[in-house]
Amino acid sequence: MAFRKRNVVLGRPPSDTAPVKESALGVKPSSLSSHTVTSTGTPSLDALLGGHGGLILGSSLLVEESGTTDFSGALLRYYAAQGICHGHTVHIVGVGEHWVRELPGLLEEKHAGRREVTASESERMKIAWRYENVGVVGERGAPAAPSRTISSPGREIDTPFQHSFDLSKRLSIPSDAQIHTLQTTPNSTPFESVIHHLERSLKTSAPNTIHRLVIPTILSPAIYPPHASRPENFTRFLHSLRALLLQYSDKLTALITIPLELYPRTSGLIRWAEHLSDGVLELTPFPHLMDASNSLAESGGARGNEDQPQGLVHVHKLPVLTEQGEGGAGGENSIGDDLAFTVSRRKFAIKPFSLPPLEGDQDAQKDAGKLTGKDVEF
Amino acid sequence: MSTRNRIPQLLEPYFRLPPELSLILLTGTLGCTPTWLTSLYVSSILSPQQQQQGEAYTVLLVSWMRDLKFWKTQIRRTTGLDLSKLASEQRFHFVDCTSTTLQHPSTSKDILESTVQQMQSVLSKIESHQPKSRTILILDNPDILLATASTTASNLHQALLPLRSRVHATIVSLTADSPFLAAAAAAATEEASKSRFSPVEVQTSAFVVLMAHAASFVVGVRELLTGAARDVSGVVRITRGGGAYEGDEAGDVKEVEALYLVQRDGGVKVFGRGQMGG
Repeated sequence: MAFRKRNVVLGRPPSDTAPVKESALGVKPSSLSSHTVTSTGTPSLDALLGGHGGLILGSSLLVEESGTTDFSGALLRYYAAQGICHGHTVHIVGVGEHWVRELPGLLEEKHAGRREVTASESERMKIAWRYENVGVVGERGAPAAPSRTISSPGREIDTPFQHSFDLSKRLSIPSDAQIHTLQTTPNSTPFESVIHHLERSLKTSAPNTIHRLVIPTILSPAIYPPHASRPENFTRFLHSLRALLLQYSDKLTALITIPLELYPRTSGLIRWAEHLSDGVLELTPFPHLMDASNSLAESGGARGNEDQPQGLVHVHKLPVLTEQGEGGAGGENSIGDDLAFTVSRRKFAIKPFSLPPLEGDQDAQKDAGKLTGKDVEF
Repeated sequence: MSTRNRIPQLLEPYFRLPPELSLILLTGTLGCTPTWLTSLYVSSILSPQQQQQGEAYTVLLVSWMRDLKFWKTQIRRTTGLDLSKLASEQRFHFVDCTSTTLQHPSTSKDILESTVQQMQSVLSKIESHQPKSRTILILDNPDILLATASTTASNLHQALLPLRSRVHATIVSLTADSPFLAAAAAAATEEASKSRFSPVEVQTSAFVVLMAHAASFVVGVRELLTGAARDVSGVVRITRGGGAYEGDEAGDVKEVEALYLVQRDGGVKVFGRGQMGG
């Protein structure tokens, strides 16, 4: 048997069969480390999270929003809808069934694909060639994997890792979807039942199910009793959640949004919440949105109607990277970048923010454009 | 085992073995966690060179924020030290306090007690197994107990005193963001505005101040004031603590402020302002 490969052990099946763990839908290995990531349902947010290409399993994301708007709610809906599309177990805290019924539906793929591709093609023609390799948000200084995550949305849609959603449609929820809506109890310990439910569900579920915890507007007085914000309830809940995330680090992710109007970032309570979360993102919507966006469009700061920035995004903490002490440094690290978000019917896009040219400049440019040969006198 | 020396040259004097009964305080902020400092301390105490020179040292790491898996990978990638091997040699011990609130869900007051008991029993085990070895106690974010309103700053301090007296030296890492320290700063300047602060803010700042007064030196890391930079992770600053003025051993701490960069592979560079990292 000289023709038999010598370094293969006899009587053992070939070792390159895929491991069983990979059979969970909607997860993929990180492009950067040995972690496993899952999509948040928002491609540009996935690209922001430290170059991993998604939210690392076993980590939580806290999205803060100032003002009375609910842009972070869109992120949350995408996250929940993406989980349902992948067959993940989704736990939704504090809101009722109606929230689930209002989740965004899938974008029709043919239509979406064509539209996105033409948009990116035309962009490539307009923008000078030397900017082509600059890449998208969060890929700062990254030599590897150019134009992978969101710069080619047409291709990405075909892969099952990320779906595209349409806020004007409603998601048709499959009958076997694992959705649990949890109500907080009005007694002195409102979060305890949530932790108990979550722990039980994680313990009893099959090893390759992925769980998503969705908490819209935590501490909002519309949903939570006033004593929910007491540290023995709130921070203790977050610490218990962190323990569950560590314990089931291959199963669970969480996305929490919090309105900053009642609890500003300068308060100790919110700072502890940020410390106990793995990633922290802050949305600052522009005030007087309509006026601002109109003038921005006029001055040519944004291309089309859909691309007007609606607010700023600040990344304060990134999963894993911040824990390792990296701080703001390093490629693919978006802490400290100037970012803006745009919510349209079809997407929640996060892009680098730049101010449009001044109004005065535009007048000057118009005048310059009018200058024709007739005006030049020798 | 790897013998590479990963401690940056500028910080080397502060990684010598601490004198007896001393306390070192590490502080961090939201964007700059001091986990890399903790890893460097663990590896400098347990490094093979250190063990050859004198008596054996043992480390007891107690963590409220991160589990053993995190510390194993973190210390392996930053310093190349294998914690599993050291644990089997009884030279590294770990007490996992990440799930304390999960195990004591109701408004129970005995979280602190049970944690301290757990640490005492590990210490007794170390003392009976290796009576000659010197133990260094490292506490990672014990201020979580204050954040979850499980205890008060003075109670926590008092509970830690008997533990500190049983070990050779103690290293504590705490968070010191400005929202926490604002309460302490205001209390020092204007008494009347005290009531503006919530109990959590007051307790957290009180504990940081307590520890800073007891420490022989404080190693603080924080973000750059001018915003994030690609080649700087943050600022590291070493100042004398209140304990430096008590004995004469630790009195010669030199105060330093420098920039640092934690690289993707875990290596750390420390350099002065205006210098290149290298």
